Amino acid sequence: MNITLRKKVLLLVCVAMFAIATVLSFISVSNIQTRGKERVAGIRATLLSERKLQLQNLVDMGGRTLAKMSPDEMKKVARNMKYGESGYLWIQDFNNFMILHPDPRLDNKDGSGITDPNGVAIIKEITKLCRENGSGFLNYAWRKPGSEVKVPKISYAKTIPGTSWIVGTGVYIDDIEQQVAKEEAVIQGELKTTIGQYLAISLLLSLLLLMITVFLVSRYITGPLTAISNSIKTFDNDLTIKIPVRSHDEVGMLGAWFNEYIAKLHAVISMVSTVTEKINTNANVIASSVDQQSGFSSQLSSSVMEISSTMEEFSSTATQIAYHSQGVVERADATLEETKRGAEEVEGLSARINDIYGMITDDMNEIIDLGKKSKEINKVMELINNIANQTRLIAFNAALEAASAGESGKRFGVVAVEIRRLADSVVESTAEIERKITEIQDSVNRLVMSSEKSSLLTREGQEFAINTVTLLMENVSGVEETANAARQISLSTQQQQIASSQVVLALKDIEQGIHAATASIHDSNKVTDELASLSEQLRSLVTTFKLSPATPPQDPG
Amino acid sequence: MNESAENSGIEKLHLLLFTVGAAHFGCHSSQILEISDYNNHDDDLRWFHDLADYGTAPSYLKPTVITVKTENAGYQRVVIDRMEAITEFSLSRMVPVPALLESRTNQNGIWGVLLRHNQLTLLVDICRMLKKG
Repeated sequence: MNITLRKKVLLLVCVAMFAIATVLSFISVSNIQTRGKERVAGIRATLLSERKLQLQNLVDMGGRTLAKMSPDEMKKVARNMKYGESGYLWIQDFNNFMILHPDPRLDNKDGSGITDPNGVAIIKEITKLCRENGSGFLNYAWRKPGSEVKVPKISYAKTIPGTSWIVGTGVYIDDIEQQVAKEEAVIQGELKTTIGQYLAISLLLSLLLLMITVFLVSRYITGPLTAISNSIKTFDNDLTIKIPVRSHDEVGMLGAWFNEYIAKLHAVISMVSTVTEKINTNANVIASSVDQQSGFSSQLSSSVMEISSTMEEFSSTATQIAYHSQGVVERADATLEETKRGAEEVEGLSARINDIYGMITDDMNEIIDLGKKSKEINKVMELINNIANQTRLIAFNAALEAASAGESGKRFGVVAVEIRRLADSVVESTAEIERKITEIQDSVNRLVMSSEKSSLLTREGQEFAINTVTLLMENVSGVEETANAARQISLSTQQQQIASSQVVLALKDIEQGIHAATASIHDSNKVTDELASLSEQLRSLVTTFKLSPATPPQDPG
Repeated sequence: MNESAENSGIEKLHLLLFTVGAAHFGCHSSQILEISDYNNHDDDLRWFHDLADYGTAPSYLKPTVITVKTENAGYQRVVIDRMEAITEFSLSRMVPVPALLESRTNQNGIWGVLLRHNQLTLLVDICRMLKKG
């Protein structure tokens, strides 16, 4: 059913107002009716009470009057006691015998069988009331005088004091019902008027309330809802829209929630945009990486193939090594024998070097002695030099003496000069000899140093020879170890050959694994391309959303 | 002795030639009594460089002691360096005192300059040097 919210609300308000008006009208009408009935009942009761009081006064007055009389006088007086247009008194006894009654059909007759149309035994009931209470009222229907139509009537009867008679009288109360009917007609008129007024007022109030409701609904419900509806209708993936929130009610909260939802959606789309960019970038990186892996895998495959080939060559080489290692073992045995012979030869060489060392030591001692002797010559030369100096000094003094002697000392002076020159010559000669001796001593020193160096070298050569012998002896054990090691190498090489064969098999398995990995990488490449395509589609979808440029993209991480 | 042969003139000088440091000196042989070796245990010695007012002490390569006659028939031992010769020279070989030394001639006992082997030999009066010192 295509009914707008405004119409629904208005309809709901109308129904509510109608229901309220109906209930209020029903309550009001019910109240009016209840009050009318109470009013009718009150009128009826008032009229009936007046009649009863009237009857009671008449009977009391008649009873008191008749009580003082004889029975005959009672009949006579009672027969004449009339009131109103048709009012009278009757007398009966407790045996339901009508002693006096203006209607000859009843007078002086048994009234036990007198009943009204409703079956009320009138005389019996009055007798019963008086016997039990001394007096009492009784309602029944009775003919009006001059008419055979029975109408409602009320009678009051009372025992005449001091007698066994009962005096009573009654009045018709059909006029009371007529008055009550009139009053009921008035009340019905008032009721209709009141209902009309209520309806008019309800209608006016309903219209007024409807107008107010229309205004309020338009302003606070349908208006904002229309704004929200228009915003959603014209959404077009624009996440920058904002619905104006003017209230804090449900509609305002709906607008606020819508704005909050749009803001969250904005943040989510921003994040999705960022993530999409990253996914796209990462997809490209993964694609590049997968390409690289593919290249690496190809290189690895070729490398493994090369390794397999190399390992096969290695296995072949190991076979050759095993073959040659046996030759090494034989050669090591031969080397052991040769090393032993070499050690013996070096021992002989060491003995020769020892002899040379002794000879060098002797030569060096001779040279040292020569140096010492040259130093002794030096001392002699010093002595000669001193003598020459003394001679020179003496020659000077002689020349001095010759000079002081004058002409006689001239010849002596010449001799003194010659002696001095001779002394100078000796000094010069001794100086030359000293230089030569110094040169000899230098040569001796150099020779000693050279001999010491030769001795040292010879000693070192001897030590080297000893060390060589030691090394050769150690080599003997080393060569033995080498031979053993060569045997071990031969054995190990055979094991290595077996192991390399196993490695070749393992490398073939690896090669198959690499082929499988290459196929997997190709699959990954396809998936990565698909991922890149999907991320591109996602980015295209995200770009359909209009985002606020001021909103920074949030990092999802 | 070429120098004696050369000096055959009338006026002749009989000189003891010696060195102190790098300088050549000469004194009249008549002032010298004796020549002896230097012994560093001697304590009555006068050093020539002190008498000649050297600024700083020169190195003596071969110190020799000369015994110089003084006044009152006394003597004084003076240390000189290496002796070169005792010989005669003609006065004609003397040259004027250089202007640089002229002011010191009397103070330091220098009384003449002799040209010998293209070297200047200062002639000193050791007696006067001892008297002054």
